Amino acid sequence: MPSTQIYFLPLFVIALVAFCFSCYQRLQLVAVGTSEDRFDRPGERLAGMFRYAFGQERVLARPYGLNHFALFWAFMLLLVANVSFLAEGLFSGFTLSALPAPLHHVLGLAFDLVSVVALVSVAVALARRLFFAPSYLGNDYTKACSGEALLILALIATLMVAFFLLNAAQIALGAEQTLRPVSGALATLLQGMPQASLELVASASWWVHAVVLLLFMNLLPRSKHMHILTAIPNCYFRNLEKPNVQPRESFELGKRFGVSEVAQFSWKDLLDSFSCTECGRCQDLCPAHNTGKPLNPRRIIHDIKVNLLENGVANAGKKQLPLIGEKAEGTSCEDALWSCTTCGACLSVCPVLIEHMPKIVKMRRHLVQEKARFPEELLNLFENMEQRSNPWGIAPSERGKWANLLGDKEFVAGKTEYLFFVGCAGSFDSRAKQTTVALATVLDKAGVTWGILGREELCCGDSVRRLGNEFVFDRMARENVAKFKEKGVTKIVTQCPHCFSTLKNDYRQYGLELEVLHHSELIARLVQEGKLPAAKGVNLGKTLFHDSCYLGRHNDTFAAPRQVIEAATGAAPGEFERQKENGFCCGAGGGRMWMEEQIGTRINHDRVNEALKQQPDTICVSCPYCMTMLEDGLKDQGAEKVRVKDIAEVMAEAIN
Amino acid sequence: MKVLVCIKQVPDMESRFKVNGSGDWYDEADLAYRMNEYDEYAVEQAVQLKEQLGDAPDVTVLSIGPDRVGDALKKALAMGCDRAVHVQDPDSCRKDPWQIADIIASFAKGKDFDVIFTGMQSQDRGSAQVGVTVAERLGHNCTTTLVGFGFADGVITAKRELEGGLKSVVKVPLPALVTCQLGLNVPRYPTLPNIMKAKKKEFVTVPAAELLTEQPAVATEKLYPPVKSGSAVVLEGDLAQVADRLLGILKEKTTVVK
Repeated sequence: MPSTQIYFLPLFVIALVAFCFSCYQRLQLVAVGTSEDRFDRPGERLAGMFRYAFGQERVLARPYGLNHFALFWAFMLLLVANVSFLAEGLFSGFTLSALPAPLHHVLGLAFDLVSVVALVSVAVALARRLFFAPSYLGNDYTKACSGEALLILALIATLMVAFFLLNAAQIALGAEQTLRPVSGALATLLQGMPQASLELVASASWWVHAVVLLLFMNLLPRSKHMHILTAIPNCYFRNLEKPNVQPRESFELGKRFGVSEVAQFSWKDLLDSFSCTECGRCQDLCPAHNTGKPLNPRRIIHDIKVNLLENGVANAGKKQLPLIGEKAEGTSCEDALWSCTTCGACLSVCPVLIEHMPKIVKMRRHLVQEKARFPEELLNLFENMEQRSNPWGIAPSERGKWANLLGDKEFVAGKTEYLFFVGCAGSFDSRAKQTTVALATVLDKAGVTWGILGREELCCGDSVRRLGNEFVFDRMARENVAKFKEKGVTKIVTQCPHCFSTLKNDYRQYGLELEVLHHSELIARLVQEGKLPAAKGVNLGKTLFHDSCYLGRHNDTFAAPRQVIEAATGAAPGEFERQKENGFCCGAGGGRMWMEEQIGTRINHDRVNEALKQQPDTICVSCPYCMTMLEDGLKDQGAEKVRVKDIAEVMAEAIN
Repeated sequence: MKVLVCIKQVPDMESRFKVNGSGDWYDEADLAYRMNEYDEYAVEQAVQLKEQLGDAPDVTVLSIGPDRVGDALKKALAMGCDRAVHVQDPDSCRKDPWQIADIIASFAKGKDFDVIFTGMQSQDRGSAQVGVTVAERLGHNCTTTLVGFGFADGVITAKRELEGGLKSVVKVPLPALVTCQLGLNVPRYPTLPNIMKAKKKEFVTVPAAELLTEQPAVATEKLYPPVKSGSAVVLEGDLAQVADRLLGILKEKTTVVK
């Protein structure tokens, strides 16, 4: 086919230029973002890239992911086949048969088999979208069976069929010698055809394959299939910190705070938006989305992309299409931003490691700090936090009162091993105070020396940070860090996962590197070391353990609280249907504890109803917020008979 | 137009108060301070008036007291006031309302403030005299306990809260002083850019002695907590029994249940 090159070369050049231009355009859009260092620790980044992008670890976390895995690797091999296909079309004389015969044969066989895999995957994907699409594939802006999805599947299928036909015709013509079982079988069907017809089939297949390939290539950057190009770098540039702590802000005159325009996002935030595959897994897990709130993490990412594309490089810094405002494609509404519980389910499930939640917090920062626009309940909260350093606005002098009966419990460096950072709930909330006392009992029984800061203890600032009030958080963090240093604190134990995570992770940004333990970890360690008296066993009936997001998902502490329950009761606790990584938030994180929940159904009802299906007698928790939310939920559902107990209470009861 | 807002810094009312050593005021140790609640409504209303008039009015905020009152003034600046005057007086708690009003009136005299906003009263002393006395001294029109505020054509339309749940509407021509009550508005949460800008705004300190011309009219003789009268009973235990006991007490000691 000598004429092929004459026609194909210009076509290829045009397609390549168009493709490069589209990619360049999008790269320019990503470059609109602010700087962020995601170039450190290349070894760790590469390892993650292989694990998540090439190994598809998170894709495979769901059964259907296997199909994507198969298609991905078929694509990787066919990439070689297609490069050689293009080279054959461009340079006369280029042929894979120039390779050593064994390699040539192996490649031929591999391409043939892998094309079958790709074709089967496409068929499965099509069937799934047509006949058994899961609910989370579609939403208010796209359908499971969208035209785009079908077009892409059709193009891939066409590529495979044309590839088979081309090879079959060439085998029939005697021009292809490698062992290709599928193409070979097809060739036997073509065997009877005259040579001219075979040549026509080969030529037509070649052209169909060539044109579709170039079309497919040009469709990529202009569709959700952009992820084929961006997912791999997105995994490389992922956030290496676990948990995903929001970045600090600097407070100087004339600076902007938070994000109100796409250009204020970092380049990685913008790369995220081009990496979304629209798989819908984040939406499927999101507690807000599941209870009828306007938030959909996937939609947040989608709107950032649409906003970026719509405003373009020139307008990304201007508000042509607002980023936050009346809900529209490209605009997130404030109600959606306030619905987030920062539970981190979206972060932990995203196959390409998109960071949804930090973007929501960045937009909240704009609303709170630049506009002072937030649900009215928060006005009180912020004032209480600023004035009295606790969410309820109770006098700071009341903070250490729970310990009055225990005698002098002041933390003194050298004399007391642990600082027991009690937290606001543990100090002021009457139910959580019982957990505090229980933990104190357990520590005493184990012979652990501990002390508190009493009225000098301040709020850790978790809620204000997640709510976007970074200015107030910054002050609280600096004051706390200075206090820990002044008091010579080296080890901290908390009874609240929010204090725990904030002290352990957020405060690292302020130079605090201490041993911070959640009480579940410390009690589990004391059990292991045999420091606690033998549990007499408590009868809690059928137990269920509810994972706290900030202990479990954000800090990967799943085993410790379960070990504590097992040590206390002699039996592993029962599990929720949605547990551990897939655990469902109680609804109180992200500052939602202090806000009304007026849209949709209540998140805690959803969780409580899930529990009630198993008819438990006791739900065990490890967080004072979860305690409040689940107890309230049970009351609302008329199931007060089901008790909610913190693991410290369970242990204290067992050894008393 | 020139506007003056007078604010006071008071202790957090959630605090535990103790009488001081000399027995004439509360002990200031260990107390956290904030802007008097009613003065927050005054600041907010002044800033709203400024916004209504297209940023034209110049709003001065004034506070009398020791160094710490600078925090309250900074908050008022962050909320939108233009300049702050700190009347330095470490002993302001020993001045009676007559003297406080005298200091403010001396400051305001000759400065042609068209509108003066003050809180209805302070949360700690609660005399509710300073505002009206300042108005009297300056010869300004005055109306108190505002729960609604309107301004048009040089006239303030004020909605006032009267006793017994009654409200009245009065029209007051400028110059005028108004005192603000709960329900007038929702004081804004200062935005961060405004907090930053507030740091650059004019902040003048004047010693109280330069302004004070009057002797006290009243003196504090003694400060003491109210004498305990009767005691509370906390009913605890089984809900049904508690209800029965409550009913018994109500029957025995009151006339609500016959």
